[in-house]
Amino acid sequence: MRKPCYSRLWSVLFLPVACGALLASCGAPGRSPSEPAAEAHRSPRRIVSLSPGTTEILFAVGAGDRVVGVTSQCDYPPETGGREKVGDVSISVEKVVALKPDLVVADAFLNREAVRSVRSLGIPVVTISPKNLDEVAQAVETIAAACGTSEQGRKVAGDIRSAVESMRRTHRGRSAVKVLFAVQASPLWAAAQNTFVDEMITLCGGVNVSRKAGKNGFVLFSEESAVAAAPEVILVTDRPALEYFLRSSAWRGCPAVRRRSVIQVDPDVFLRPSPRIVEGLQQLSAIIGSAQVTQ
Amino acid sequence: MKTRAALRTRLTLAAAVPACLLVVCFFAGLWTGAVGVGPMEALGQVASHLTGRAGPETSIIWDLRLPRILLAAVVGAVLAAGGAAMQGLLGNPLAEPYTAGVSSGCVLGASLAVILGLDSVAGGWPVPAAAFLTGLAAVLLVLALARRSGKLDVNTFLLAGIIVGAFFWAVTTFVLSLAREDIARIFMWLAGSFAAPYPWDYLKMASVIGLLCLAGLFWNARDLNAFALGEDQARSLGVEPERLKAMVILLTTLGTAACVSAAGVIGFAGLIVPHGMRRVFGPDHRPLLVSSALCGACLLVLADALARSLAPPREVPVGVITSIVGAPVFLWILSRGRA
Repeated sequence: MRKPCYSRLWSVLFLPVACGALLASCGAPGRSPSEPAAEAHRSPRRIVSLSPGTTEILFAVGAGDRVVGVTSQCDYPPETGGREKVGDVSISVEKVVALKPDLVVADAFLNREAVRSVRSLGIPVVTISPKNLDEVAQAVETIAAACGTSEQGRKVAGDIRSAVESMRRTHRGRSAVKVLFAVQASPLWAAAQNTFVDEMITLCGGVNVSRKAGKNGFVLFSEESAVAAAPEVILVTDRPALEYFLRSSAWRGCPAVRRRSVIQVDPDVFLRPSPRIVEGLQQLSAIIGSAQVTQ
Repeated sequence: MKTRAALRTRLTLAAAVPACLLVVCFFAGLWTGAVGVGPMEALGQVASHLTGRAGPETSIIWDLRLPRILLAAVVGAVLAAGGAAMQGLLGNPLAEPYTAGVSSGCVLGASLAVILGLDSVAGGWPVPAAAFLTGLAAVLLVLALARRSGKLDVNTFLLAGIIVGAFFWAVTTFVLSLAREDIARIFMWLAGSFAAPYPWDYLKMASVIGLLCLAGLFWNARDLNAFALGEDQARSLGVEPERLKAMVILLTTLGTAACVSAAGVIGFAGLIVPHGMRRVFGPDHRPLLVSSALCGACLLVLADALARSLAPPREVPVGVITSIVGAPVFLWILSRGRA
């Protein structure tokens, strides 16, 4: 079994279900740093992080040594192993409070209830909810500012922005490659609009074949449409899906299967709002680049 | 003699009318979907496969659409006929094929298998196999609880089914809370879907077991009629009540377990179809079982066609459609029944 990835679970299951309500209720407020002015006057010494993405950002901006609590889903960087756990998919607010944090960093979408409870107890909370790569860079800056490491935050955010820019330049004017990103093979769950994956595919000179299937997040995508779209690259996130595409008679004639371009990738670098999204971009660029060669 | 002729007429009607409907539904299913394939082209693709002239190119109709339609038909037939038999046997209008706890048992087995990573072993076969076995285990547990001194008490059976079902759901919920990234793969069993991996293989499994169980239920139809008169009456007519109870429950459960293993839990089909057919053809189990099976097949083929074509290229879980459509229809049948 691979390490669990919790952002993936939620994006796959609940984005399609709860999208409309969610957008209406927590669109913008999640992104603005909640009360950084109140926290900026002193640098926090005990930080609790409530999602894998925020944990990765905290370590990337140099606040990792002050992180006292994480979730059991937070598996990167390896140093998180030794930190106190405050829950997994659901957060134990009691445990958070017991760690006496002077800052809690959370994902506005994944941790909605926990954020509400922690705030009501008077503990400062900074939330992020990035919807695209530029907002991931902004989220890095927001968290860095709250931790008093703005300098390093700007550097990490700058790395993300320059990676995005260089991808855009590299792939400009190249022939488009049709890509299917499946988080599950059957029934088929695929990335629609407003996912990092969709944006990354477009950046790297690909066309996401399931993009029209939904406005937000991951959707139950018609397998007929997927076969008819004839993707040249199929990305999967687990072994059962990989086997399915290679073995199923329905996919025999698909260009991706014929050219053995069905590739298993680590979902965390594609789905988590963290600086490692750059790794995902580079992997995707290499995969799409080699598909362009064989076109 | 007159009654015999009348029965024959009713049986013919109960078989012929839904069968014609099923043919219509079959073509409706074949010609709808996210990808537009012309009617003649669709038939041509099926024909070329049947005559062995098909090329190596992928056929959306043959590889994706046709096995789904056939699987939906088999599952619908088994669930609806199973529901009719259970309602007759237990004398309870709320009985359905899932009454004995088979669905929650299946879902628990499937989720455990997925969590243990068995869906990447041997083409994923351990998952439906585990679902089937735990479904049967749940029913055997219910039967064991409901047996008193060699007799099966119907009321205890109903209660035991509810309790065991609730217990298995609780364990499943616990398993789901551990699941994290596998939750989407377990979701299919909860919501029901005919987009099975390797649909032809799943179809073979479900249809062999399901159709055998259907035949077994038809075989017991007349005994169910006698049983409806009460256990003592049934005995005087030469029907052994305990044997009949065990037979009907096991046949229904085996078939239902095969269906749930292939397509997940699909609600309402086994509940509304028998009620509707009873209103049309009366309480006699011979026309009732035949018409329920055929109409159940129609219902799920149509529901799956809707699931595939409501919001293309998205799909809607078929269990959602049967429940959303099923609940109001069931209420309507009930209100008509009172009038």
